[in-house]
Amino acid sequence: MRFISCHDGKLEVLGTQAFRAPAARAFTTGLDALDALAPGGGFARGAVHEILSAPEHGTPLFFAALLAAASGQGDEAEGRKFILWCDPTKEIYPPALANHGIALTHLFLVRPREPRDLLWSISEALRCKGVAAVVAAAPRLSRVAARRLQLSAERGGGVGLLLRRANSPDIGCYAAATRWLVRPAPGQRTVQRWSVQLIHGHGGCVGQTVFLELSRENHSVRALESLAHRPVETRPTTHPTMHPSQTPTIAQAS
Amino acid sequence: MAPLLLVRTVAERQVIVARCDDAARRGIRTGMTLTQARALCADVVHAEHDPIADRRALEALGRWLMRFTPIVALDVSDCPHAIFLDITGCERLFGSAQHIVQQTADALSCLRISAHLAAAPTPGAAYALAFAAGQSHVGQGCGERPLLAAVPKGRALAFAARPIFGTAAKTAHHTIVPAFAGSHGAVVSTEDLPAALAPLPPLALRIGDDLAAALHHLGLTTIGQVIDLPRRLLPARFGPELLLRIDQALGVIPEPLVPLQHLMPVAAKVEFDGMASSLEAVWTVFQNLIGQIIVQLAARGCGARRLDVELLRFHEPPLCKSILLSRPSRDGVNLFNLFRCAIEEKIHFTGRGGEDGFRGMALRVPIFEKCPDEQIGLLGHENYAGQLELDRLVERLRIRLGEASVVRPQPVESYIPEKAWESSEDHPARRAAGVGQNRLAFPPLPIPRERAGVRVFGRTESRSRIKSRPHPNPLPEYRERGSDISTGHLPRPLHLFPKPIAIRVMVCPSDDAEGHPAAFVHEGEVRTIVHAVGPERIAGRWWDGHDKTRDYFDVEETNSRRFWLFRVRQTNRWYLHGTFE
Repeated sequence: MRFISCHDGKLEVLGTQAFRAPAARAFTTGLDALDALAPGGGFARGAVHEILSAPEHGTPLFFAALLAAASGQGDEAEGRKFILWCDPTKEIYPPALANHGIALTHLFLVRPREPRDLLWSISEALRCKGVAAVVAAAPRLSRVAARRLQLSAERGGGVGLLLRRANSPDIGCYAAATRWLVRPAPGQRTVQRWSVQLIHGHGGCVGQTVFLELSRENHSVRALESLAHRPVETRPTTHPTMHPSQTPTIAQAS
Repeated sequence: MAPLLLVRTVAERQVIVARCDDAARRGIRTGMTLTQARALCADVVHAEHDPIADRRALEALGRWLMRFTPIVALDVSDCPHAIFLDITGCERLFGSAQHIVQQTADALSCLRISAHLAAAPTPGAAYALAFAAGQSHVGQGCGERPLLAAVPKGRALAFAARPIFGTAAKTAHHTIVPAFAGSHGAVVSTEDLPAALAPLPPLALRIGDDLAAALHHLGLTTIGQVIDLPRRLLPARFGPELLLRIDQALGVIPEPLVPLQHLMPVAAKVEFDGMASSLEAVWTVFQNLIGQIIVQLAARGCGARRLDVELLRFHEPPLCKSILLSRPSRDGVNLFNLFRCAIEEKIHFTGRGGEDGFRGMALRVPIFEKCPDEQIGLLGHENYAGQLELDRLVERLRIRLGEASVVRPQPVESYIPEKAWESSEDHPARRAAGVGQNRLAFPPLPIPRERAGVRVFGRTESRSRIKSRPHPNPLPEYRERGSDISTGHLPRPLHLFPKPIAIRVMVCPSDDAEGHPAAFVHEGEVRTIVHAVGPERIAGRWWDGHDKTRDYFDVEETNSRRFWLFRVRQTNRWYLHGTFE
C-alpha cells in the first residue's frame, strides 16, 4: 500500500512508514492523550501549527500557551527557550502566562500595528534560531503567505502557533503541520474544560477529540479521551438541591 | 581658589609632578612631596597624575588645532608636552604668521588653556622660544618643562601650555588665562633667528637635564655663549646631542615632523552609471557597501553604533535613513538585515522607467566604538548562537515596529491585576541581575485578612448554594488552604482587557453588594452564568489614589466560556476584566 499526499497542490508519494515514524525533532506536551492524536506522537518543530476556534468561543490562548510552554522544554529544544507572543491589542496578561508555565524571562511581547507588519514579524521570528515558539493571531493569510510562514519555520526550526478564526474566508489557505479546533466544554466550578479536535495532520488521528482540563486550584492540566465516565455537570437551575461541592471535582479526585 | 597639584605616588611618597601658578608663587616646586607642599600651603588640592589621559587630551587638542594647519605633530624629539604646527603655506589663508599666532592664542584662551606660543623657522627654534616664554612667565628657577610647542618649517610656530591640562581639566577649573605679551607669541623670521635664540637658556634646546646642569656649571647660561664656542669642541666635550640640537634649531639639519593621522570618516559610496531600479540591484550594491564599511571598521577595531544610508535620486532629495545600534557591531549579515528592515518600507519603484530608481548609494558610520573580536567557547556554542540571533531579531523588530513594540514583561509585586506586571526595557544590567530588588516572582504571597486587611480570599460559592441559602454570610471568610495558594497559583485570565468593560449584571439573590452574578450582558448577548467562583476581594491602593475595592468572580456561562468579572464595592458597578480562554 502506498500513501499519496496531496498537499498545497503538490503530489507526494509517501512510504508506508512515513506516518508512524516519530518526527525527528518533535516535542510533546506530556499529556499522553493529546500527544497520541498528533502525527508521530508529538508536535513537529520547524513547522506551523494552527489553532482554530469559532469567534463565539473566544481565542484559545490556553492551548497556545500550553504548546508554547512545551516547545521550550526538552533536549530537542537545543537551548532555544524564548517565546515571542504577538499581541497587537495589548490584551495578553503575562502573569497568567507565567501561571501556565511560561517563564517571563523568556517571553517577548511583540506589538505590530498593521497586519502587514504582523505577518512580517511572525516570519522574521520564525526564521530566528533562538526562538522556541511564535504565537500569533494570524491575520488574513493567502496561500503564499501561509507557505512562506511554513518555510520560515523550517529554516529556523521553531514552532509557529497561529490562532485563527474557524469561519474566516481564508481558512482554506494553510500550510500547517497540524490544525486543531478548540471549543470550550462544560466545566465545573474549579475546572475549566476544552475539547480539542485534530482536524488536519498527516499521520495523526484526524477527527478525534480529547478534553483538556485545567484545574483552577493548582493550574494542573489533564487530557482525557472522553468525559463519559465523569458525572455530567448539572445545571444548578434545574437541580437546585444538588450542591456542586458534592460532585467530585478534579482537584479532589486527583 | 586653592592651589592645584598633580602628584604621582612613588614608593608611598606622593611626589608633585606639576603645579599651578598659584602653587608656584607659594614656593611649591615639582619634585617635592605632597607633605612638604602641605607644610607650605595647607589648603592645596591634589589629584593623581594620569599620563595616559594627558596624552589623550593632548592628542585631542592637536586634532582640534588642525583647523589652523593640516600638519600637526606630537612627540617631536623628547617634547612630550608640546604640539608642533607646521604653518608653512598657511599664511596666505590667515593673512600672516602673526595672525595665525594671534588666532591660535585666542582659541586656546577660549578653551582656558594657558599656552605659550612662538613661531620660528625651525621646530627646534620655535620650541626654544616657547619654552623660554614659559620660563619667564613663571619666573626663574621653577624648572618646569613647557608643555606645548608648535612649529612650521619655513616659519615655525610653537606653543607651551603649562598645566598638564589633560588631568587638570578633569579635576578643576584651574587654568590660567595666558597673558600673551612681550616675547609670548613671538614670530621670528629666518634672519632674526640667531639673534632671537642667543639670549635663551640652553635648556630650551631640548637637551637633557644633566647636560644643562653641566653647561650651567661652566657658566654657559645662554645659547649664544654655546654657539660661540668652537664647533668641533662641542661633540667631544658634551656628546653629539648638543650640536645636533643647535643645528636643528638653526635649520642646518632638517627635522621632519610626523603629523597626526587624520581620522577619516568611515563611509562608502557608489554612484551608478545609469539608474538602478530593481530591489535586487539595490541590495547587492548595499551588501557591497557594507563589506567596505566592515573592512574599514575592522582596521580600526571598531564596530558601528550608528549608520546613515542615503539613496540618491534624480530630481528629488536623497532618501535617508539612519539606524542606531544598541551595541557596536561589524557583522555584515546583521547590519544588512537591519537596513533591509529599515528601508524596505521606503523603497517604492513606480515602474515609470527612466526617472525611476536610484543613481547612487552612500553609507556612513558617524558613530563607532571599540568592538572587541568575539571569542566563542566550543561548549554551549548552540546556545550562544541562538542568543545572538535572538538579540538580532529583537533589534530588527524594534527598528521596523518601533522601540515600544517589543517588550519583555516583568512581574511587579502588586495585588491590582493590571499592575502586576510592567513592560521593562531590555536593560542589560537588569537582565543580568534577573529581577530587580523590589520585584518578586509573580505572584506575591497573599496576606491573610487578619494581618493586612488588604486582600480577602472569598469562600467559593456557587449560585445554587446561594439559592438554597437565602441569607449568605455577608462577609466572605478567609479560607485556609494548603500550599497551592501560598505558591501563588491564583486564577488569572490570559486575556485581560486593558480597560475593564462596564457591563450589566443580574445579581442573585438580591441586587446588593453581597450577591453573586447570575447573568450578564456582553456583546449584546445575555449570558447566563452556570458557575460563579468568588469573590476574590482585592482592595485598592488607597495610598496611590486608587481606593476602590473590587470583588472578582470567575464565572462560567452556558456556552462554557469563562469570564472574569468584578464588582466595585463602593459603587456597586460591574465590569468585565478578562476572559479565561
